[in-house]
Amino acid sequence: MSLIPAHRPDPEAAAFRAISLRKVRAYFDSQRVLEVDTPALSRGISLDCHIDVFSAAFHPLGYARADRSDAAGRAYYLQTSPEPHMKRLLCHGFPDIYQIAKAFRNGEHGEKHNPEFTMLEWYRLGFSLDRMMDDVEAVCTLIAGLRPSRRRAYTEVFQTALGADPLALDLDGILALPSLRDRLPSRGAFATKTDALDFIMAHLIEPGFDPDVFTFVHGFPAEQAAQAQVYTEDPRLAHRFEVYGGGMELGNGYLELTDAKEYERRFEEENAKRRLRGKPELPKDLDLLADLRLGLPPCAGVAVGLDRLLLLGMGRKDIASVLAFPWNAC
Amino acid sequence: MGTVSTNEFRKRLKIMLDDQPCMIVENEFVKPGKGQAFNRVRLKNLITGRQLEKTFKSGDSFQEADITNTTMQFLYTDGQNYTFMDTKSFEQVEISKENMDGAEKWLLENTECDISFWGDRPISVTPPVFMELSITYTEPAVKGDTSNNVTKAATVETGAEVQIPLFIGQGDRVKIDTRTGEYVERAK
Repeated sequence: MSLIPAHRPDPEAAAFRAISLRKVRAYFDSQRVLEVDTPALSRGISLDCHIDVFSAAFHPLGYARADRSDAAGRAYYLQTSPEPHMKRLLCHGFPDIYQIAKAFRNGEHGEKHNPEFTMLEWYRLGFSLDRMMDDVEAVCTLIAGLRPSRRRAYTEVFQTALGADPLALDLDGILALPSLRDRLPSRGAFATKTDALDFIMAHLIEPGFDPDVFTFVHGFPAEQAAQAQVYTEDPRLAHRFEVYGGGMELGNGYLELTDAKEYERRFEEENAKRRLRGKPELPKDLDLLADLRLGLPPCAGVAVGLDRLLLLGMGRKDIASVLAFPWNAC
Repeated sequence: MGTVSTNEFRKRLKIMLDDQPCMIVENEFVKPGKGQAFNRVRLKNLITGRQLEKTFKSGDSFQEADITNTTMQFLYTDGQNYTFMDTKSFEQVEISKENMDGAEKWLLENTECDISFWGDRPISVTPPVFMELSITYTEPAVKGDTSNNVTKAATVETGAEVQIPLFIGQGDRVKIDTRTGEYVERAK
């Protein structure tokens, strides 16, 4: 067998990453946001029906042996985001916090996806979603030289692209839109209206965003609230935004849900969606639910895919090009 | 033939789509952070040669297309059909001019071509990338014009029309890139 180096790590990308991280840390220092470090491997996991996890087993020493197939060990998960642990810190009275964390998502591999990636996640106590968008823009422009943002309401984005109100239509109504003719995959592809809206956003709308601008889309339908609060004045909408660099999704921000019971209800809802799609259920994060009972202070939180931001900053296309050892080389 | 899922999609993989054999030209994995995963795929229909874009739910499965490639020697043509022979089995196939898709203009007797079959049915003919051919007709060069960028029309022995540099004359042999139809160099 001949071993030929198949991959050359790129020192230019490594330097750009190092400089970018320094800028991010300097920004958060100046804002008095505390850098934290939480476990990547844990019992608790963010529950999201479309995010698949890597699991790993913990064995007491001596049990992980080839002749002991019965030693299943205890299930642990590689975090899909540092969100649960960071919220637990806030419940315990931490101030504004940020983290540069490795996150892991099973099965997600492509030009813009590496199954292991770096997430920049932070929380601001008492921030409105508007202020949080300002904060995200400040961080993004440290790394990528795109023009300042356009902020658009979710319903307006759809109205402009499809000539229809996404809140007023049901799944059949959406599939029947003349503006979508021949642009959708087969009918069976969508189990719910949310799936259809997600598809339209990712495949038909995002690619049309101005490539030189950070775009924020805010006010998502309540079915896509994830862990965001729903508008008190209009329960059809949620305080969630997404930020895009050109047509590429960079991150998600929420006015964070604070009610422990509502968290539990949404975890169960995600598990119901997983069952509907034939996916295994995941355990509810009981440690998080217990800490939430201490009270999560009102806050806004955001998670940004740092590797994608580096991609934009370097003017590159393939996420593998900003990683020292991408998925196919590690 | 087995089945393949979108997770195994890669360039040049051949799958069945709407009962037609197609080759994957490009495959892009698209997944919003909180949404469903899809594969945006550009395919080439191997029968018509046409390219199309499709979006599949990630994880969907497809039948692999039964495409095999065989090297065969060109024997002769009656003007309508082109007859090739497998030099190992001596089996012969006839391919209509329509299915030759332009490959016929580079063929000399005994030229070895790569022929794709879908099951038993020949669907495409790829001639050698480079062919060395004699110039059967071209105008003599005009004296004094020595610029390298200037070309003139010529006919080669297979009947194809090519552009050649001015210094090449009738009876000379040239190397042609059959993918582009362009002159490469003078052959000995």
